[in-house]
Amino acid sequence: MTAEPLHHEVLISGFGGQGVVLAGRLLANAALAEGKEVVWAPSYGPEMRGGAVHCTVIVASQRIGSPEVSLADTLLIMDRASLDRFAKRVKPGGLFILNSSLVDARPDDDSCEVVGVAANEAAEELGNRRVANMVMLGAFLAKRPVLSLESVSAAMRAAVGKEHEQLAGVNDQALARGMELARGSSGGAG
Amino acid sequence: MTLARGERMLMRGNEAIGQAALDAGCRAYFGYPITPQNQIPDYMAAHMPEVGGVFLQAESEVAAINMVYGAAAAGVRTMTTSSSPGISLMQEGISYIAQSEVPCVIVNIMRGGSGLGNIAPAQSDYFQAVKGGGHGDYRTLVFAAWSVQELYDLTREAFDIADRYRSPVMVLGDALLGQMMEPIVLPEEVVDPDALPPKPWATDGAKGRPRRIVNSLYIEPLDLERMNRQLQARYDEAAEREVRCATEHLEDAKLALVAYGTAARVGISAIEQARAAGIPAGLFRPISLYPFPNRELARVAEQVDAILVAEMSLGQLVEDVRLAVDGSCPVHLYGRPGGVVPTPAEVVEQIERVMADTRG
Repeated sequence: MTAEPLHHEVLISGFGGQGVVLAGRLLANAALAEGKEVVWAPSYGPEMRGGAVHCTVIVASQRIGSPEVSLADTLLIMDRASLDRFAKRVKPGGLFILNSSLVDARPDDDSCEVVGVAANEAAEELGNRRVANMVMLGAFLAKRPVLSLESVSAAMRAAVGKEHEQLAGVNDQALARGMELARGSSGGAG
Repeated sequence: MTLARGERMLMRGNEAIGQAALDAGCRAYFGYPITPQNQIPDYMAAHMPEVGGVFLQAESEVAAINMVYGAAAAGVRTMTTSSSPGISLMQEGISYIAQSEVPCVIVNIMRGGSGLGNIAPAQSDYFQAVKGGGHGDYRTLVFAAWSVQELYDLTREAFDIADRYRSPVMVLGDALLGQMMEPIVLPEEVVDPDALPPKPWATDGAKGRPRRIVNSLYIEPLDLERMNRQLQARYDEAAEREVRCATEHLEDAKLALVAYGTAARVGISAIEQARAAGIPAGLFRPISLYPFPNRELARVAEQVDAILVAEMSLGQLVEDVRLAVDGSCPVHLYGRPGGVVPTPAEVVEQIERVMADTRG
């Protein structure tokens, strides 16, 4: 049986400092390592520390045409403002992963799957509030295994580098915790 | 810096442009900051010193292009980069460089215009790029990339073409191509600037030889006319040798979509969707915008029922398409100016509209 060609468009959104851009870069590097096609694009503009930030990643098994993500297959929403901004930027039947620590609402689109993950609390339980982005990535990999946990973890280890090796452990725990939370989430449509 | 040459790696478009220039033997970069191309001067500032070249942040775009003029006259491979409003400021210098017959590379990472416009991806500097841009009877040779890999390849080759025609060569990208990251493979070999052929016109020190003059001033009209014709003869030669274009799915196509750069990326997605719905559409992608692939497009026009031009501007590319097609099939326009990137679905709608019109 030949697998369906993979073409998955992800939009990650939050505020500066949440690791939105890094999370996207890790997906891109993992896709590269798996020999997949990939386009990563940042939001850019008159940005400022703490301001709105998002990035997009397209992962595919075949050549990628349009590099622009107009409607995403999956949205990783790190804060409430991001939901307000991007709630409509989803394909019918797409997936929302909401950081329920900071998002107290749901998208209107009933065709979509919505998964809530309390990423901030999970990160704090692991002793490092900055790994909330990894919790979100873990949840994504559990729901949409378009990339392997191993490649994302390897990309993360390459990013933290030798001098911060001790950070790799907690990031791995965060990825694993995100997967657990997403699998245990009631989820479901609407 | 160690780069994994020969292996697939991720790079941003703007960084790929910088690395391409270094690999082509560019040893003098001048620029002035402007979004969305600031990763290029950033990259050059970091890496030009590693190869012993000159990185200089000028006080303005006007200064930067005139520094390029000076370095080019001295025979050095040189580049400046900017984005739309900055390129406008450089036009006087580009005109002087062209008439002085010195080679250089100029990259325009286009953003929405006119005026201050915005910093979103656009293609609205097409006319400025391919029709001359500054005053006088000159052109720049213009090449447009549609991927990070192609930004590298074309920027690198632009230095060879500039030397071959003693002309400014412009590479066009846009805010999206410049900012985004894609897989790229850097070739193993790089150009050694000391091993390049000598430039017998360069003003690189007249000790022990007759002096040389690099100049664009010809007071006698007959002299200037002769120089203008000399430039034109080079453009004619480039039209024979440097035309680049790519086609996809045209073999059985009833409709040809003509687009370059990001619009062509959107276009190929649209064509694949249209084909899945049973519409035989194909892509014609000009890579050299000047010289324009006239003959190649004219042949396509004889074979299809209609042409649809998709451009991120409001009727610029379509003019050159109409000149090439010369009435042999209907030419329709789908233009999105202002920094808007159309979606593949929007282009599919236009393909359907044109197909319906054409059948009717």
